[in-house]
Amino acid sequence: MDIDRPVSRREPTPFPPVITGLGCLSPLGGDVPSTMTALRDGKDGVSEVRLFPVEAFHSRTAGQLPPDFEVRCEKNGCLASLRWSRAARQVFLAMQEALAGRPGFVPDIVVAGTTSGGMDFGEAFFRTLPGGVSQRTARRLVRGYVPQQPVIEAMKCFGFDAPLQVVSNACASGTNALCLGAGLVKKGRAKRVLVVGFDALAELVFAGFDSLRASTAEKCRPFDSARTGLVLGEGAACFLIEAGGEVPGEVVRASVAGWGFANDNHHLTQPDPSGIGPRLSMERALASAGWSADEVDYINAHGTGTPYNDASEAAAIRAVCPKVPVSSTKGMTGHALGAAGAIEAAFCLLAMEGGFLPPNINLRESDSGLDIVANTARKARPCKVLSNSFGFGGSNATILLEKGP
Amino acid sequence: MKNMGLSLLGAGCVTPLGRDWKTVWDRIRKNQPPEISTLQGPDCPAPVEVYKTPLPEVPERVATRLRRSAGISYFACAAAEDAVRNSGVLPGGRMALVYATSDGSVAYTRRFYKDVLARGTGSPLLFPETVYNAPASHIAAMLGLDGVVLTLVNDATVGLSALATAADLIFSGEADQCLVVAAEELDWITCEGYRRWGLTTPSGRSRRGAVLTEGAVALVVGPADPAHAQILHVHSGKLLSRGASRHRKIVQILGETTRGETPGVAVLSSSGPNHQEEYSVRECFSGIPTLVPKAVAGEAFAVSSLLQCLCGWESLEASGRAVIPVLGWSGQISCALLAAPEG
Repeated sequence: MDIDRPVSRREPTPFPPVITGLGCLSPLGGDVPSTMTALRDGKDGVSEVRLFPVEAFHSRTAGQLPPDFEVRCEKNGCLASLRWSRAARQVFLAMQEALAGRPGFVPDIVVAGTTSGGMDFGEAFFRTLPGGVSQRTARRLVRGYVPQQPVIEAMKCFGFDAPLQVVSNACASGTNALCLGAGLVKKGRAKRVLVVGFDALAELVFAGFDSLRASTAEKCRPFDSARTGLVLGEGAACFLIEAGGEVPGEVVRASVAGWGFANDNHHLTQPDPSGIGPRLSMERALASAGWSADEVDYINAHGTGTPYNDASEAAAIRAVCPKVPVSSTKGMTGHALGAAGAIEAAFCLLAMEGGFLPPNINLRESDSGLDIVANTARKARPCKVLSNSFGFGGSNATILLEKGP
Repeated sequence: MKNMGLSLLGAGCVTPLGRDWKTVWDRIRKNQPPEISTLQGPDCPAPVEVYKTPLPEVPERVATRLRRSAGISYFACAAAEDAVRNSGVLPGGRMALVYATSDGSVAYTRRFYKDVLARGTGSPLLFPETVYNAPASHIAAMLGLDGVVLTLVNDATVGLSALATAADLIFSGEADQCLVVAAEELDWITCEGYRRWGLTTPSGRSRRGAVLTEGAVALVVGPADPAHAQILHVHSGKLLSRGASRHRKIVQILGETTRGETPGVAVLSSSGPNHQEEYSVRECFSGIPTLVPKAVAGEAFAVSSLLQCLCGWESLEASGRAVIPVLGWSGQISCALLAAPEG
């Protein structure tokens, strides 16, 4: 089914959008089961960068996908996967896992979130220009670089010809994509939406955060009083979203209860210290779901580990949900940029299913004034969770998930 | 039946054909293309012909913020400012912004990576401007927008996708109006990339190739007002495959968008005649006139798709309804249907 949008039609479904499929690969694991275990164990997925030389950089570590990632692509992917960008391979594996749990799912629309698409192919094109490059290789690299292409490659493998929407709101992209996808279902525009957030580690982006001195040479310590910055990460998470009430209850893993966006016009790379952007996005999300702050059982913070981000976000959380347990999982995974929101929403879903609150590792002492889930997972039964994602340009996005039946 | 689509409340454009829409439209109708210039990188075998757009002046209140920005942000802010002023709508928290681009700030991305390879590090002044949503951030700051601000990236279909998103935001009550902006900028690396892809040629004006260009188009849209022209449908389209099914899908999308009615004009997304798109339009709507604005204005992806819409709007008085198909270079299609004011 294609999605046709007569712009006057407004037929919101009475049912909330529900998540019926999940695929996830991150530095914590190559699939959902391994991710669940590592998330509960507080695994540190950050290691020395092995994809490109880092001697010239201040920071030398990142959260990278497990070493078997390439092997899995060769074994499970299309034949063409060996000619894909790193991002396309990630998207394919995440989609494959999500779709395996929901046979017959064909999306009406695909919504993706990313910041850098197939950046490794763009880098390769630029590097090969001086030495000359064959027309065929050049075409493959240029085509593969554009942000939509990793998703298109994977869609073709599964025989999908649905329209594709790619959101690039910097590091909030993954959450934006999830919210837009859920919104299409809620507004009655689509019955089945596939959402994927992805970003692969790339030299240019690594150098970018290094040049800003946003990345740290030591451990990433979100909400620690002596935090010194972020480490980058990578990965992809894929969600199948359908209209609740129109699918069997047993396939529902969680519902998307609400969301909120806000824009903070303070600075291109720095948040307003008052936390106004995060505060507005959280308040708008709670209002959209009809939840009070007291109902929230857990907050997965954006928590990059930079002094500015964590101070701003902590101020916002103190203002909106001061008593709710909080953790940032970026100490374990690094910051996967456009994938982060999707991956962290997946972590929230796994926390609800697994009965625990994921830990905020590498924490020594916090001045945040928040109830931080420090260093080890906390046993709990979270049913209503909130996940924040913020990005360059003042992008702020918050999504609320509620445990399935 | 009353039309209840989106109304166009104001427009702004920054193009090589001019800065005000009347001039641009006049030149498109009279087939007066801009002057050709060329771009060639240091390691590229041949120059690529392009239509360059001069950097526009931007409002004082955003000039300081843009002092280190790439050209694409200047284009986007100038067009957005004009669109909002022409609409008469006061920007604020209830106005959403949907920004669309295909290539983003490639100039700064290329310069930053060149420095990384040469010196091991790049400038912290360049990197933040390489992100796709940097222009949207500057527009939001300029206009004081603190609500929904989204950046969409895709091939040329992204312009219509942005309009569809605007419709969703307005009809769900998340926004009262939406500012939709598309912007692109040229750089030699983009030209070389597209040349190697086979989408343009060194001579530029070949039958299949396009003359690349840059600039921005901005539209303020709001809920339908019978006194204004309307966007009746935006079909989100499909991913096309090769072969016979490609033609079938294009015909299907055209038919679904127009609901079996024959529009008065089709504003095409191709760069020249005899494109598959024109063949499909002829098959669906025998004998209707077609407009090919890119043949005059050049190819600027996201910008071009909104420019098609503006051309469609201008044609409504004579045509009543205009169909706007957009075939993107990543193999996607989307389509819109515009209608003249009622009565």
